[in-house]
Amino acid sequence: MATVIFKPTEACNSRCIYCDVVYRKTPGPKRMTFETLETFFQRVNEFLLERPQERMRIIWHGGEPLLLGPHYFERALRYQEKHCSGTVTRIRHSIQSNLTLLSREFLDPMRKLGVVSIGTSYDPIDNIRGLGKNRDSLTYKKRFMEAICLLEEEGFNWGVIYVVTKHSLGKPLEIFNFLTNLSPQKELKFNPVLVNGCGLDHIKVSPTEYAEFLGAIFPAWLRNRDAFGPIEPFSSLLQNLCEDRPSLVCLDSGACAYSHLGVLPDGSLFHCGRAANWGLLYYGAIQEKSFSQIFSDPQREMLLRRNAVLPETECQGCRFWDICHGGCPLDGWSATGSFYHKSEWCHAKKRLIEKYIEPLVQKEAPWT
Amino acid sequence: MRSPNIVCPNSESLLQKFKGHAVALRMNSCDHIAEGVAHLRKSGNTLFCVIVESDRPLAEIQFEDHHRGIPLAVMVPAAGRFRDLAAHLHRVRELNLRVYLPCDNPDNLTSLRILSSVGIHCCAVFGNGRTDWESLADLATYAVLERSPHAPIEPFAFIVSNYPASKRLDWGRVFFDDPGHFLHLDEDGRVALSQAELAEKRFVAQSLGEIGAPDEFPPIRERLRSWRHYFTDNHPCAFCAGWKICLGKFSPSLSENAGCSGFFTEMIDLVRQHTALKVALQEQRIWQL
Repeated sequence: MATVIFKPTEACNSRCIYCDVVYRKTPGPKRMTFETLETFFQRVNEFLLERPQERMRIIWHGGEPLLLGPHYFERALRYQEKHCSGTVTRIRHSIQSNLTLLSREFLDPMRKLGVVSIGTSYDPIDNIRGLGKNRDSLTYKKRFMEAICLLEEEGFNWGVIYVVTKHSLGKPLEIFNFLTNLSPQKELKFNPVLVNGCGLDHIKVSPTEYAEFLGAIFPAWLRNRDAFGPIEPFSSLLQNLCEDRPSLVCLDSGACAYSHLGVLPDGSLFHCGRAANWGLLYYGAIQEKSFSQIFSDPQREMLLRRNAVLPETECQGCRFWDICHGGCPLDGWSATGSFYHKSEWCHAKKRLIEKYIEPLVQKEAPWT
Repeated sequence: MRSPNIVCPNSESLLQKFKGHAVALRMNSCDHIAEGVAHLRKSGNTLFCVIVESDRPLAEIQFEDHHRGIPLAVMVPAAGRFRDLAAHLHRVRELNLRVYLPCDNPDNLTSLRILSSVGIHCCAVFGNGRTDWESLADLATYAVLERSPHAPIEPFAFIVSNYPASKRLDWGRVFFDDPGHFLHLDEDGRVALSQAELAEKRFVAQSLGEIGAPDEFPPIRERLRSWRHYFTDNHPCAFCAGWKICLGKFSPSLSENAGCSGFFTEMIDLVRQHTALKVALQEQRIWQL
């Protein structure tokens, strides 16, 4: 499935301490014009008509997409109905939002676009996520809680990403309890904070620290995982290691070369959301190139070649290659300036598996 | 929209003021059960149960033959002498009865276990600040995992039946204390959200007619969403592994209730063990077919 990280705005009402978008000086407009929005849906339709077997997942991202207002989603719906009547069944929308602007008015157009769940982020620790320049965490939290009540009442699912920072390290179980007590119906995911030269060393965590944070949580989750539901990265790691049912996210799949696309408000096209934030792997503009052209851009070949290079170099002999593929190419680039290096987070995964997962999971893992 | 269950005193004139509700009738003696149920049935409401709040121990309460079949919630301070209870145990066991005992008295924890073991459905009433959480955990373990036949002990049986299917489990309804399910009326028909608030005359409406759809009535709606405050305030309860089946019920006296976290965390584990045990027993049964 083709995945589009669709950023119709880079403006945000929040000032989360680790956000790339906040720190990036965006040269283009903060908000996608209706003209570009319409072009986007034309491109989507054109692409799906050219590839009858293909489906497309559009992830509304930002910035904060709800800043665009309900009418923007209504307009998107109208363009989709106008341009994608024959392909709409192969389009899936989802949204990543901080939820602090959610109101009932958004829900109808979202439903009509086929959105059934919303991804969000949260941190109970003050001054990590917060509204406005002063990073007002209390108002953020209140609005967030109101929003999840609204979503639950209206039958939407929601999932949450927790970003592990230096401030989280002392309290992994408390944070785990807090987030699972909120009972997100979709997955709960723990990601490490990614610092790409934004002067955020004070919140940075090392791969070892991240692994230890996860390792403190893993036994609690494993013991009662039927009640907790899927929590990442545990669920997919267990699935990959023990159940022989590969489930690899883009970071680990080694298969993002020809599947991902990031769209910025001005219509410029990058490899994915992170690439767009970091200004890497620029493929052109939506006004000039079709998605088919973009998906066959020669720069993508680099990412595919990485799968041949790493097993002969840094990842040689690694027993976790099949479930990691060297991690996200952008992490390799961030650390070394080249895509042909593995992600530093490989170490975290390896440590988590070897120190915490393998000793606890009784079933013999398929690679042994 | 679901009509709320009503908890109200046994008053014929009050019962005439509303219709179509399931009603839990409160009285302080068994002497008026038949009369109260008759009034209620005439009023166009249905009987949820009769709540008898007595200051006498269970062993001293005289149940009659005509009490059979009437759902009874009997709230007593103690079980009393088992020698006395044994004399009319056969009659008590024939009733549709749940016995509520406060568990801030250590003897009552033993009584609850005995009552359960002789087939009487009972309920541990949590005391604020004086709970022996370790003994209560022993009782919960008996209630949930004991394989010899015994009657349910609430709220443990309720928790086992409803967690984890329910994301945030409020077992207050076992005690008629859940505005999502019960509204409390005084003699004049004024509405409170709990028995405690009724006692403090903290009313949210002057009559049931003001409430309309309960889920949309602001004080009820706000109360049902009040769990959010634990999270916006970063209250210690929000970080507790047992919160999902406690919802901060003991937060007002948290320092005195230092054991509540361990208890509810253990309770969640008991649910897990109970589920595993059920699966194992099912497998055994299949094997023995």
